[in-house]
Amino acid sequence: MRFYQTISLIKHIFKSLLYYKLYTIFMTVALVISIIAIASTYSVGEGAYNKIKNIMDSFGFGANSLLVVSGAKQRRAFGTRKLSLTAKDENMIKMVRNVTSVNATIANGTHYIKYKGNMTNTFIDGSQSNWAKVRNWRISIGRFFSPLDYNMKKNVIVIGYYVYKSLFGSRDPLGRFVNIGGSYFKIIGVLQKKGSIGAFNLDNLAVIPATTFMSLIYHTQYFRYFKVNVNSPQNVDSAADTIAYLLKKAHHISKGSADDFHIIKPIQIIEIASKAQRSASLLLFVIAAISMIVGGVVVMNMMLSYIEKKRYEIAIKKSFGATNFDIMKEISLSGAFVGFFSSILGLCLTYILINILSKLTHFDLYMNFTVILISILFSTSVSFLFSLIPAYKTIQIKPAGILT
Amino acid sequence: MAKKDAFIRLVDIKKDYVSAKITTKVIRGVSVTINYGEYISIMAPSGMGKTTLMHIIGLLDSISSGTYILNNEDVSSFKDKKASMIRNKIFGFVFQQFFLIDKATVMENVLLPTLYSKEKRDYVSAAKDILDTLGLSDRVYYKANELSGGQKQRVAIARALINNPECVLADEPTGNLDSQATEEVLKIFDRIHSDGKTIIMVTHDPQVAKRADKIIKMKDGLISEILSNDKPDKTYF
Repeated sequence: MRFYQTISLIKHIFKSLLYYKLYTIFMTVALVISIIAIASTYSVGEGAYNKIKNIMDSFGFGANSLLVVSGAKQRRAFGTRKLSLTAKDENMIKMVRNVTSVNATIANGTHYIKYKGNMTNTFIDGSQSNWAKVRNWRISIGRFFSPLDYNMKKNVIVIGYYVYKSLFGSRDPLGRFVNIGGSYFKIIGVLQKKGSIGAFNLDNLAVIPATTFMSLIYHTQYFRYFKVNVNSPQNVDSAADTIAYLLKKAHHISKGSADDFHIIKPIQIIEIASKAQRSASLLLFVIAAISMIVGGVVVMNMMLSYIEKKRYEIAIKKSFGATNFDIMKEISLSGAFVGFFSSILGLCLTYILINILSKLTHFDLYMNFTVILISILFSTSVSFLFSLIPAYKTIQIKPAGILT
Repeated sequence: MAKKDAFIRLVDIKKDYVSAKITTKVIRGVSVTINYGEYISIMAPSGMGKTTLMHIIGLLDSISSGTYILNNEDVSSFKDKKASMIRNKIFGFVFQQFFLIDKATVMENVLLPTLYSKEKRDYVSAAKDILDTLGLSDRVYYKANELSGGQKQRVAIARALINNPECVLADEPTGNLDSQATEEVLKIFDRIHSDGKTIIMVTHDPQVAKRADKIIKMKDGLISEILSNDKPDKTYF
């Protein structure tokens, strides 16, 4: 077909859709609803995935790091595990190839931190002087504790932004002493504010030297976990294998016996945490796909009415040389155009909707290229396919029976 | 082609319609030859098969039996694709009801057949020329539903002429027009004929029929009479 004819045909199809705008509006509405359903459910899934990734990043648990955790791997997410990681293990891991830094931490849940009449229930980490560095967490006021503080088991504490605001309001906290389980700790720094992810407040924590933690809060020589940084994400697997091998050997774990530690890679956490969200998203996606099919059926019925309305026009086109294929092509292309433009409109409305929802729920929803592509392809192809039956029906329109 | 050469040759054409086991014989055996450049009127009262014969000639309808030779080619059994191509290239149709797309402009209506044409031409200029000739140059971008009956029929004639067909097939083209508009349309047909085109016009109006060179009278699906018109009433403009 010549270029002029192709352009003329497209213009003609658009004008026909405008002339019969009521049909076009009904088809568009049906498809737009389906597109909003598909795009928003997909955005929820993407939002969940990104949220988990953000949580991981907030903890400095990026793609080039891994956690070595005390105790065997358990099916349940929470529970008491036997502590097994020692300072000797830490030093051994530091020697592993491609490992750039190791941070050992002991923690056993929340503790009350009191200052005069104020009190807050906070997660407390007993850790080392590189805690902030390996987590990429800056200090907003004061400083982090030094290796000297660590080695001398000093009663010093660095508090999170939420703890600072809860206990001191706008007053300067530096140099003041807070009470944890009867022991007093001098505040030497405040961590930079990180905010919340959902209901989880990242700023509700405090860090003290692990040596102090082990002697005053939780009497043990073991660490809860090591956060290990590796020089590149590609080397995480090999580093994890080496660490596992060395720890088994150091902990005298024979072949076939259960390990007293386990290693978590960031991708595992993201996969586990997003699995449930994605299962829910899949279900929603199936519902959305059904709504798309329903949209397609609406398109088909509207197209049948549209063709009935255009019987004279189709007959006159045939009388002037349009073949059955030409007419079928026009009808099915009309369907495809309606599908395409409905998807664009649906995506615009979805964008507005998810922005409103994100603001109302504090749950970030994402629209990426995949959701845009899926929506456009899905809407265009469904509308095209469901237009084929009405298009085929136009073969039955005989000009001789109409043009009299 | 020379004026005496046969353009259309129908040999014992029959057309039956079958519905609910009842067979209606609409055309019972028509044989006629129409030459290039002739102006033919097919005249009969309603229900005598004249429109069916025109549809058969224009390949809008199939035949039950007989032979249809068009341009020395047997087109009796042509299917959709070939028949459509002939309708696009050789015939231009004008109907009593105009059958314009109401919401489309005059220009869009005239250009409709070009959507299916295989030829490479400047159709917009051609359409403007035809509309100018038919006195519609000031209505080019009017919507079809904004025109009078006479203007609509002139647009329909322009649409029939846009692909420069060999033959114009007109089914009661003046049936919906007042006397003034009828005269205008008939003058247009006279001029198209004088330009060398073949015109086959179906009508039940003797005043309209006698504008033609030849009048084919039909009765009960058969040709009852073929009259040569010596044009006593013909008035060219």
